[in-house]
Amino acid sequence: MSALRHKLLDTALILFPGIVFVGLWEVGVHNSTRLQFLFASPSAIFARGIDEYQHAAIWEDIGITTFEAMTGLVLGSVFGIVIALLLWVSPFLQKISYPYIALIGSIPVFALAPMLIIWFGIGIMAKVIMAAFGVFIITLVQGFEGISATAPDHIRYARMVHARSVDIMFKILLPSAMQWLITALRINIGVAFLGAFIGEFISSQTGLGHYIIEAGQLYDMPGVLFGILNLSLLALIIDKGIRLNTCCMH
Amino acid sequence: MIHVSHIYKSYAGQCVLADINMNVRTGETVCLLGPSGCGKTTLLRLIAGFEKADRGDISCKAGDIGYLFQDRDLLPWRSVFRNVALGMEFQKRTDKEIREVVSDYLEQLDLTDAAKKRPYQISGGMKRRVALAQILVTNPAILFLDEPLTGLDVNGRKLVSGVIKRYIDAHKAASVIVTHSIEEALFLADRVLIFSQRPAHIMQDISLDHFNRDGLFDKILAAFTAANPQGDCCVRTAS
Repeated sequence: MSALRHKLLDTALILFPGIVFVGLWEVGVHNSTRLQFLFASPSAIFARGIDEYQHAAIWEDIGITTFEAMTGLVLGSVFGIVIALLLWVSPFLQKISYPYIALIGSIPVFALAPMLIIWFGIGIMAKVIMAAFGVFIITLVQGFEGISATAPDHIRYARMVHARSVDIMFKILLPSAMQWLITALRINIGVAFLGAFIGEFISSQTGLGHYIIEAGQLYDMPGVLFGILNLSLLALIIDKGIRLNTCCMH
Repeated sequence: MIHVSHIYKSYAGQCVLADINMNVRTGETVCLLGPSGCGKTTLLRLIAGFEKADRGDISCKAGDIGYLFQDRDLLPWRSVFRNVALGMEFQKRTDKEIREVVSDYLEQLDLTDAAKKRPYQISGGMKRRVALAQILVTNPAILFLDEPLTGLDVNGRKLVSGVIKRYIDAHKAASVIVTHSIEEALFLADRVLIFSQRPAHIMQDISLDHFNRDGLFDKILAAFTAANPQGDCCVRTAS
């Protein structure tokens, strides 16, 4: 009972600033059409949500953006882990490639977007690659750091009993680096949505990025904020899902 | 089986080992006895091939080695059973074989009840026993044990000493053991090498084959004291 009370109290404490913020926002813009035009109002966004969720178009936008971001997340993560393991296998490769990785990592995905749109068109592919790009770099760096942090004596023990490199990877390195990889995965949810969003923002016909840019061009502030809210909710739900699935891993 | 000739090793310009010479024959157990930090573990790592000597030759022939690290953690995501089984998994032994051998060593080391526990759920002494089981299940022909009895209580020391002794006798394994305790050296070793303080060199090579073991403790203690006038609390406590 006491634990339940604590949990309820914690939830109330977390919700309290949000409720106060939304309340002040609603009251603040209530009597001003100008302020409502500039900032919209929580009730207008809520009304927009009720209306939009009854139409298939918003679900299609949500579905496409989620698909682009998640495909980018998976591809970028897998590719990042594979390259991190290859760098561990070959210190020579690591030595010559790390400066290039740092160089590529410093490129903002926004700068690549026009080029990727030209190469892959305005379809899903360019957005997936934009999402995967940022994810790949973070996963590679985090994964390699995690792998490098593995106690050398674990590797020595494995080598002592003639373990194959692939067995060392799956039985020692990857589990050792798991905390690093989970952290990377959680950071990368936002990165993947950002990549997909930028792609849609620059050129697309569907997706939440397209929805937001279209609403912006029409000065439809509730629409813009409703689109942003959907992006945040998606990232939050996926992050929660990852946390639930990984909390008991160790 | 193990041949060490004129080994020198320095770290950051400080000489740790100076002109070390030793041989270990098949089936022979040699204990390295010396004050803390004198370089015994360094020598063990050099012989095992984990580090390179600045000068000198080391040859370590005939089969797989098993090295018990002084402070290697267990893998926290694996149970005690699966930690012990790890080496056999690497060796691609069958599941049945793994089950039998691992269970046998867990029983010998009084760890059967802890088989399903994770490393964070067991004591330091139990972790040490798990680490030893992890080495022995892989059937090494040469054993390098770095303070195998550290962190164990009296019963644990007796249990682990017995298991090590039985393994060495049964497998005719060549063994090099780093220890602080003369009693343990007396129980396990065929020869004891007394090390000086840094830069360490071997002051005495005492063979335990031809003596009456009752008088050996005092003999080794006298040799140790002569080699290390500063003394070493662990060795003295053992008396």
